[in-house]
Amino acid sequence: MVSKAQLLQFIVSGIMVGSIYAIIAIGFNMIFNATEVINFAQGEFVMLGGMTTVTFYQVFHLPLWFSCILSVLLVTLVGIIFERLAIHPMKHFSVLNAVIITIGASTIMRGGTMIALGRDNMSFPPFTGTGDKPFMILGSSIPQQGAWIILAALLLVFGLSLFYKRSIQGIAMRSIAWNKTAAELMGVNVKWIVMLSFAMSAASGALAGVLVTPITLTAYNVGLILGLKGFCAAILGGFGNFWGAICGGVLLGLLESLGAGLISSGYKDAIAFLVLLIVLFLRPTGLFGTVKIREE
Amino acid sequence: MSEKDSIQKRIENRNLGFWIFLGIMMSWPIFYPNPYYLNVMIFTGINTLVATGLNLLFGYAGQISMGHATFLGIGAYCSAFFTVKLGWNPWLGFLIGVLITSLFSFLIGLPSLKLRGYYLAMATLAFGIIMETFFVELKSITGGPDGIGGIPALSLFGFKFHTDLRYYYLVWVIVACLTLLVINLVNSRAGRGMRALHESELAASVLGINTFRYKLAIFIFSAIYASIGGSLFAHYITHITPESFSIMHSILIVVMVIIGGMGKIWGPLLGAGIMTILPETLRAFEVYHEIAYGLILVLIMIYFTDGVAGALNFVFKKIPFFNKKLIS
Amino acid sequence: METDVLLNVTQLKKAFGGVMAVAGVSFNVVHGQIKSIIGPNGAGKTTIFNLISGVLSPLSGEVYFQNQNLIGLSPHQVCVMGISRTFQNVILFKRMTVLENVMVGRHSRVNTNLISSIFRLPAFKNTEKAIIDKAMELMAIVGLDRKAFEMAQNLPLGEQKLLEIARGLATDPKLILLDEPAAGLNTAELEAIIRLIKKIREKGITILLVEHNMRVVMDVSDEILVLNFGERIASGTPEEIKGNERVIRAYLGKGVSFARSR
Repeated sequence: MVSKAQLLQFIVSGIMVGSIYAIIAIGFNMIFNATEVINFAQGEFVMLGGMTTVTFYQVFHLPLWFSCILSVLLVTLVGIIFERLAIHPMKHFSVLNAVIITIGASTIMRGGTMIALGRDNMSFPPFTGTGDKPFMILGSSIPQQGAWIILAALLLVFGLSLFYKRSIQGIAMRSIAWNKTAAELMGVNVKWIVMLSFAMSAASGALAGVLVTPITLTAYNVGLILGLKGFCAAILGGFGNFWGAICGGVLLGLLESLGAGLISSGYKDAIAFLVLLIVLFLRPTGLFGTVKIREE
Repeated sequence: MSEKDSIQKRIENRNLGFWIFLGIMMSWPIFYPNPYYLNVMIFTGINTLVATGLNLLFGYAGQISMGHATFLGIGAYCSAFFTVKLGWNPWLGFLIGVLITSLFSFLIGLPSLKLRGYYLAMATLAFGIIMETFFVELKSITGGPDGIGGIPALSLFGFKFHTDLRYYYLVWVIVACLTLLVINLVNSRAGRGMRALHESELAASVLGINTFRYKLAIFIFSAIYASIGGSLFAHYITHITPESFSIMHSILIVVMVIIGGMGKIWGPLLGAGIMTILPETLRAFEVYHEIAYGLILVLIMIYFTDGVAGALNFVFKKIPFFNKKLIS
Repeated sequence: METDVLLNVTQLKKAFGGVMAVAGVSFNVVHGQIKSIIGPNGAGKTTIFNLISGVLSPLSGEVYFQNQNLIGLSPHQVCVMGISRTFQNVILFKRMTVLENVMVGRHSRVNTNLISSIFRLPAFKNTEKAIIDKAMELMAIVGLDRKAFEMAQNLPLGEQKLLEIARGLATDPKLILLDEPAAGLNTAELEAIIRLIKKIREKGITILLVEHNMRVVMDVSDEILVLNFGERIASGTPEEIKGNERVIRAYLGKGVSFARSR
């Protein structure tokens, strides 16, 4: 039998992990909203965020906060290069092509990182609270890093809501999602906006990587699973919908944490997969989705 | 020969080139029984089989599976488990592998194929990652990280396939038969339906083709080919471990189909050949394999969408004799 | 029977975003007739075709074909029921030959057993022969039999349209929906299309036509339905439509002169 404190612990860690999934899901949504492409390389942005921060911190001995910021900038640059080199030249924009190209790009990023940084797990210290000083909430502990994660996720969503409603670029992005041709005719520079969406998506992915590495460690191959779970979260919440991403992420995190705690921890990853299949079977539009997902 | 018969012969896909190549393959070991060559070509044959199935999925259903190495693994583990742990007839292992693979691919394809293109890709990726976990965790069935060893040789009516030479012929005869099956399929009503589906789903559907059912059937069919390949793989190397069935290998199979050229009969063979032989020659640079695969995928998709087969096709069309007989 | 209603459309509605593309359209198509739907661009004509053939689902309304409900059926099921259609921007199977394109049309009518196909049994050869025969017959009707082995993408536009119609006829339809068959054709090609449409009617197939070319419409139609902004504004024989005030106003400024057509 599980004690109330343990249950609470599962819930708290679930929310924490779920926030990471939510941030990754938001990355998927941003690119999808601007281009209708599912970016299989999204998880690699997360991996790169963590790995480059480790490199800056451990190898170049830069201060931690600086390493993090530099890392996010670097990965944003990677995202832009990715868009310019791989996405932009796609002549026939078929779904098959796009998927293969993003799969190829993710393989390149993974393979390149393996060559440059090896296969080992690595990490860096959390932002605050080293030396075992977690927050205590109602008898369950949450590492301080966890608080940063949840805070970051919430700030991100608020920031993006403002961005999409108030800023010119955000409004332009939404107009492209609605109708690309009309947007172009209205003077929206689609190419620039697409590039911007990749940059933002890469940045948010890197942010997730930077936030989660102190807790879960990182390695050259964490991108695949994280990307997949972020995708699950996005589908669960309804693809293209930002608040859906938060809900989906947290929900997925909770399911995973409770499942691992109450049933078995070896099959933790299987839970995300099962959730994905169930959602696809029963309600592909997710909780809040309005995106057209069937061929019409 | 009546006029109608000759029309029928004319619309059949001429694949003479493929058969000539196969003829060469069959007779080569007689003149050149180099064991290393046999070994490499056995793997090439198995990969050709898997790539042929995936090629149908890409080329005709326009869908991607990121889990084909997983179906291979299911076939391999079924063969291994039922022969080693239960002592059953190896051919039963083949059959059970096919059945289980059909079931899984049906369950994954059913919801995913109603949705847009990338859903199947994601679902098969998820499936692949999960099965990787299962292959390692379910120690009682799969032997865990150490896998299953001591897989017996295949035999047919007392004739044992326990030498490389015999296995070479077994594999390539199976490849030939199953490729012939695909060729016959492509030139039938079902094949026309698939090609129509590929050209325009919309037009195909208003002409009475149940596009969803075809996509699902093609997916299951391609998974079955992978399963058969997996069983052949298991009986050849006699000891299987989960590492051989990772996502990386699924990506490798995708590379084979892409580099070979989608939707053509030659494609899988060329792709499998290149991607089996090339890593062998570059064994020293194993750490560069992954990034190389990624580069190949991206470059081919952007610049050479028809792959090597397409490029060869293009060249052959310029040569007068060849362009009537060999082009598929 | 001459007054048999083949297709019955009632209060059909379809919206895209905030726009009502089809705003409550009702009409009947009688067995054996040629009925044309005309109207300015954006009047909802192709959308109606998409709704009837199952490509889109309506917001509300009913469609009955031979007293069977079509709403909710998928396109291939609608085809099996006996309705065929062509597309505004001709959709051919470009990398298949002319003959193969038409053969695809036989898909839902002639079933070849898979085992037969794989092992090339006599049953397969027989059904393939039957499919080829019928396809050649249809190609002869439209005049494309000499081009059987040409790639569909190599045909000129006029012949592509004929091919698409031949392919549609291969499904043994009772009703065929032709979406702007005359668009982009020169005079000789127009003559061929008009002849073909009349030939199709002679074969007992009912035709529902969407068309902009008034000469074709006036020449072949038994009845004309006029749409504007997704609504029906007039319906009647060619003579009645010619003089209709609302219709003329809807087309005002488009330079269409009814007086010139026969």
